[in-house]
Amino acid sequence: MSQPVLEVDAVIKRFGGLVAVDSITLEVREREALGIVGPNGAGKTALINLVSGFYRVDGGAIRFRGRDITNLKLHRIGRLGIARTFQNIRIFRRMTVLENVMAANPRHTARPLRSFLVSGAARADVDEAMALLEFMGLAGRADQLAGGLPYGDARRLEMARALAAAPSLLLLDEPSAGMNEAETARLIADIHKCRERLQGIVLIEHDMTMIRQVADRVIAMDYGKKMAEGTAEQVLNDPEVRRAYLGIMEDDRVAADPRG
Amino acid sequence: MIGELATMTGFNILLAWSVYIILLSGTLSFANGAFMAIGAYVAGIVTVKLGLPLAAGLAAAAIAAAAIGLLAGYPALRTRGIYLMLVTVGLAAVVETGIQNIPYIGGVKGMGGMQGTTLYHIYGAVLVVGLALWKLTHSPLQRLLDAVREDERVAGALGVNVVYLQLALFCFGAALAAFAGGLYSHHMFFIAPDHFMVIVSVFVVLYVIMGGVNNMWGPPLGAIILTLLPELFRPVGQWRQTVYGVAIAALLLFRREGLMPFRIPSVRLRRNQESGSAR
Repeated sequence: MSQPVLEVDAVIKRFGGLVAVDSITLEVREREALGIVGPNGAGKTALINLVSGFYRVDGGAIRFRGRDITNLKLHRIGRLGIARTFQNIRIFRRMTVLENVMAANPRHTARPLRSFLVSGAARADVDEAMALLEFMGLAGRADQLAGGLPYGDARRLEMARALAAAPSLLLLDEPSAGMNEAETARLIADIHKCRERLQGIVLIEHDMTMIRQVADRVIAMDYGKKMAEGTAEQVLNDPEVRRAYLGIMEDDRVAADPRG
Repeated sequence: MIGELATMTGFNILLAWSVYIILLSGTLSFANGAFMAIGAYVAGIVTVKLGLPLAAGLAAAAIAAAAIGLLAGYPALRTRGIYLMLVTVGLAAVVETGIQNIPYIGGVKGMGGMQGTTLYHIYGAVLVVGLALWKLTHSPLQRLLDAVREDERVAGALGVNVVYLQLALFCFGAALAAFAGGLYSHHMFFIAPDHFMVIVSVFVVLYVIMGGVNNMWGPPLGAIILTLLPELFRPVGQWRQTVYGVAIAALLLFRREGLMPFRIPSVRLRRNQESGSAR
């Protein structure tokens, strides 16, 4: 079997006395979309923050394509090819849509001072960014301020910006939060389109339709621990998982919670 | 009189831009008056005590300030951007006291003998810095800096080394303030520590905030207005400072974002598509 894209090995994260991530071990295999489900506060977002370098790891190791990235600096992890989106959208609101995507161009992020010498509207930069905006259906809004985008478009812009960094692994933190069914359906299509550009995806979701349609494999978390692992159907029908979600899983759709 | 006003306006434009350069990466510096003092004295030592030409003095001034900026900024920035601002306040106080206590450069009595700055030097520097900032505005670096200012952590996750960028700009800003300081001392002939009190740094920050922090034209506009404004109030005699203060308060009250609040987009897509060729 080929080398996994991401290996999380007994990783621990503590906040004071609380163990947010309690010795989690998982891997994302080549070309795989790994779904992570679990009740709010289960440590899903904390896990993404550890992998992307937003939090420091208190124990264990994280390897990306065989390379140890445990506690590397944020920008080092980004340059190696891990990109992410945020549960509460974090686009650059006072920049235009096109500028948001162009700001992620790895030619410039890796050598910021040298980019001073480059002409700002260099043809290739604009073309690449516009191609991504077209890919995500945002080309018509290129010159608008990102802060004025409707919710669904802001989500798409965040994904376009992540893709502009040319990552091999994309971490999506509850992308469907706050979306209605039609918007979620479009989001699922968007994620499927993105897959051809990526080596792997980690998808945190409460929307079970989305998990079933996107994830190749699913892990359920609770209290920072791995509760179950398998196909979407195996995990979602697991008695323990159902118990953890009990009362809020009647219609297979769990209300989004800002704490994640 | 007019010549002197033009000279002071030029110095203040350079100082305002030196604050703007540091602010580009999201850090407000209250040390630029101190960097100006460092530049004024270092350049003075090089020309008066060592007998070298003014150009050598200005180069030494810029390098010395950048080095001090690096030493002060690195430990501060390793934590968070806001701490650098606190460090700059401390730096301004330390430099003022430090100069007062070095006998070699005259201590509180000051130091004299510097000369050679002309209006052409000052406005030549304004032109060069202005062109560099215009180039910056239209380069990818401007987008990276905007991204850092919008959200440091997200910019970092995209691969931008935020600390490195902030430190580099802090040093550039310090170097420009020192360069202006070198020109200043060689215009004044005589300098003393009380020319560079902490309040000078505060005034320079005020130029920038007054003019607008989001584009390169705000800081010089603020510098021009706040340099010339006190002259307009000469007829009110001893109430001049009070009227000046009220005028500033009123301007900030009614235009909180500064006189020129807009942000220049770093890409103008439509024009680019229409012309169909790279600029």
